[in-house]
Amino acid sequence: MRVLGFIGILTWSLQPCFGQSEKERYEAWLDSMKNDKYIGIIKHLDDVIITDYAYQARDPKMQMNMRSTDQLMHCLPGVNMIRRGSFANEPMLRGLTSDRYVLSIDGMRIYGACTDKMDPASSYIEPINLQSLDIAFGSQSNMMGSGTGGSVNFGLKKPVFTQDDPFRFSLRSNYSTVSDEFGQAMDVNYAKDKWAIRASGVHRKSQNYFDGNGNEVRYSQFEKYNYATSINYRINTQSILAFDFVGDDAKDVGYPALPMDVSFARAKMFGLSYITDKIGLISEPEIKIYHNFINHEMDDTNRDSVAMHMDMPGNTRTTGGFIRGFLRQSSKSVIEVKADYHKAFWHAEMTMYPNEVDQLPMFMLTWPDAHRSILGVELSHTYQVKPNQKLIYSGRLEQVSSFIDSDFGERQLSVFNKSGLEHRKNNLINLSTQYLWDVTSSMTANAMISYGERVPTISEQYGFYLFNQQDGYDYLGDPDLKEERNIHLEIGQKTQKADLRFETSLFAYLFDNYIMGIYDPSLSNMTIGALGVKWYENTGRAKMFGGEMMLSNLLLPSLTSKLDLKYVYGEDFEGKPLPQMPPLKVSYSLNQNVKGWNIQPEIEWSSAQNRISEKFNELTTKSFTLLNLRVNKMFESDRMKYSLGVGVENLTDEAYREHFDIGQILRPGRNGYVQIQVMF
Amino acid sequence: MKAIKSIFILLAIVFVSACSDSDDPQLGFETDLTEINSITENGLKVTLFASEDFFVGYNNITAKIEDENGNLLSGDIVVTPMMDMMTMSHSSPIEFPDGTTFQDGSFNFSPVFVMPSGEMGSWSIKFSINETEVTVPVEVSAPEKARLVSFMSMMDETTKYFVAYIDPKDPQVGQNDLEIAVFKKQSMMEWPAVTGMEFELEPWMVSMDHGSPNNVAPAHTENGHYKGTVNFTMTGDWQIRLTMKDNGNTCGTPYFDIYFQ
Repeated sequence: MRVLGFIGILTWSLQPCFGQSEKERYEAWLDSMKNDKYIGIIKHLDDVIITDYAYQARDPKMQMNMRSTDQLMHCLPGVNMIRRGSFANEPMLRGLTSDRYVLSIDGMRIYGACTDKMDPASSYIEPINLQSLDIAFGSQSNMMGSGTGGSVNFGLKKPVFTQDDPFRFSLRSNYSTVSDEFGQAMDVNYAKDKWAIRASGVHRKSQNYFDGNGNEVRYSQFEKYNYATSINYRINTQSILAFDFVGDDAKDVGYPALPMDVSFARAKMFGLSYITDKIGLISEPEIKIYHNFINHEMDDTNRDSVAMHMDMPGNTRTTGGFIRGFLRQSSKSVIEVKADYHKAFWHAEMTMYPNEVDQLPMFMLTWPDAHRSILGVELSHTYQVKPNQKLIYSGRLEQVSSFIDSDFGERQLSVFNKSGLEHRKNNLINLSTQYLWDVTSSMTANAMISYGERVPTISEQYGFYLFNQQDGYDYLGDPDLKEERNIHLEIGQKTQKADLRFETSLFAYLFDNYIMGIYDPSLSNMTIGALGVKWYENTGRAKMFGGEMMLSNLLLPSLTSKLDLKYVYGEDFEGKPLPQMPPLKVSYSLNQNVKGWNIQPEIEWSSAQNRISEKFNELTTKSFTLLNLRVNKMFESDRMKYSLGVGVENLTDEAYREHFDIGQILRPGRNGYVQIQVMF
Repeated sequence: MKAIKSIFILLAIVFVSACSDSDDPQLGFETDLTEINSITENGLKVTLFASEDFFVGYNNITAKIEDENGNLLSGDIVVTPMMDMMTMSHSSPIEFPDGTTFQDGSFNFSPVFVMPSGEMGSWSIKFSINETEVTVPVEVSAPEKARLVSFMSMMDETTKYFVAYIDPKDPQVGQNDLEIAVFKKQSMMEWPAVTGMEFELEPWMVSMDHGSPNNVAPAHTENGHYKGTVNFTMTGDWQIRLTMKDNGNTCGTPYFDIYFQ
């Protein structure tokens, strides 16, 4: 199902920011246009007054968790964040890692450049850049691409056309005690006549953090800069030309859970879009072209004791474009269409330096110059069957072509009598049908069945001796892997009353050709200390079940409570537990407003995980309870707004880790933070 | 492999054409190889060509045989490598891929020099060409990484085996054809090829202590030559580790160090 977490003034309070359907997404989109926060601003260019700046999400919980994208995503239902260190957590959608879902930034596809997943593309964006977060689960393609685990799209913040006040400016500063982290962020919006320009900058620097036992977690420091600009030009009242740029430079990033750190990770993204009211049959079309590239350098020069020093640089680049819009928009029927194309390139290498001086360095290509091009067409139709019943069906066809163009890489593959030069084609289909039924005026039930396919990732298809710290094996990609398939069943309901919001969803994923690493005892490990070698294989069937529940209600006029529950159960092809399955997680928060002070105590409880994957050498994870207390206050004057946020996270200094975290590294202990924001 | 081979050949052509007259078509004798040594004796001129200087191990040599007037000869030939060590002398294994007759002044042979020239003694190659004797002194050096391994049989502790590394000459990442040749010392002058041995093969990356998969152990083809496949998963220093077995009993465990970037 779909989660639309609009950040900004768009949605929430007790209103849905978690829309459930295409139709509602469309309505949210219409709403957003009315609120003039979406790029759909073209409709209302002339009557825009802006009071919004970033970090003002109406969801009090989200509002208080905006210090990083990781922290923000942690609050979303169905999302867990896998930690390898303090930096660049990997979002996990209902227990599925980034291999299985499609990640994009403002519709632009982008691929991390690290073979060890140190840089999920979400790490190249900061909350200050974000306007919306659009997450779809399972095998819905959600106009983003074919996957079996859903999609995540980070909507980039757009500049606003202000009438009365050409300059808008905000500054933010925060400090966290557990890791001695300072964060600074600013953004500025300037609008004049036909131009609206926005620029933002972020600097964050963190030292090592301390875990709940009071131990310093070495190699958990990081430093990053993020800088972005967006320029919108109003061609006429109906059309906008928009240019977006995001740059992100991280350096000296430690990964305590991994044997290596990162000396730098740099991403640059460029997008140019044209939005108008109509082109031919298509209304509200958006045409976009984009390019992005990432350079990532893994090294271990700061580590005290390593068996052998290594350099592992990697880079990716992606170029593409799409056109999307509506074929029909009536009260009874909305048809949205999209055609997209992108091509991407992956290169990663490893040089190992022996300790003996007279021995030569060793070199291998871990991503052997892989190329992939993806062409997709997609259609989604929302149809009002009866006044209280809607049918949404959608389909996507995608053609993927993959190959490597490195002789060295080809020779590496020849060791296994395999070849990667041939252009391998995969034709993918995603189909989805969803039924929405307003059972009562306040309750909507839904049922969905969808079918999705995905191509293997570049690591799964062409990776060469990629060491996986999670289970301690070297991994080999297989160019002949087949597509993974998933049948996704879902039922849910949403109840919404004046003082109550109650949502439940239950899902089942039935995978076929499920891709995972299988131990090959005939091969010897490459990495010193590894336990052996695994091949990525189509293992057959895997099953996952789970659900989310959210109950939010008004206890007193100034006191709200929110209860969140999520759980995933997974079985592999042998009926054994899948690795990294998130156990039951419950969080309960209260939000009390006292004279403008928002006081939010929160308790987060995770059950133990004893269903462990022996294939992945998993260990059981014990249950833990976290207490957080956050306080927020907004001060306003005519021209300025200030906000102050203070809080303590992990109040009891619990020593804990989440089951799906990599390595046995504990998460941070007690953390006090303060956050100040000024807007004028 | 092919590309590198052709580059090598090209370089050799450039080199040869720059520094020798051996490719003069007037002489009817063309070679891509480098001239190593030449001698005129008993009315015959013998010039030796090879792709590199002679080394301890399996050498491919082409001899150009002319009379004093530069006419290319044909006929019968006997070749014997000799190591003169003052108090004694011995020969070495040698192969004649095209038999013991030659035509148009060209003759190919492959001696396996078992030790380097030096203070211990000096090498020469004795030719008997149509029953005329010519002796060419040659310099044999020890290569940086050994390409010949000798050992006493672990079975009887008296038979001395010589295992020569032939291919891959230009090892690279991926699949490589592996060829070795095995000889034994029967007497000072008799160094026959050893057939019927079995091998186990394990390429080993010493600095990281790992092997490589899907290798094919060398198996006997003919005349003591054994062919297999060796795989390298990365560049660097590798060791080709062999176990030589005779009827299931281990005779020895020779290995070759190789390296490439």
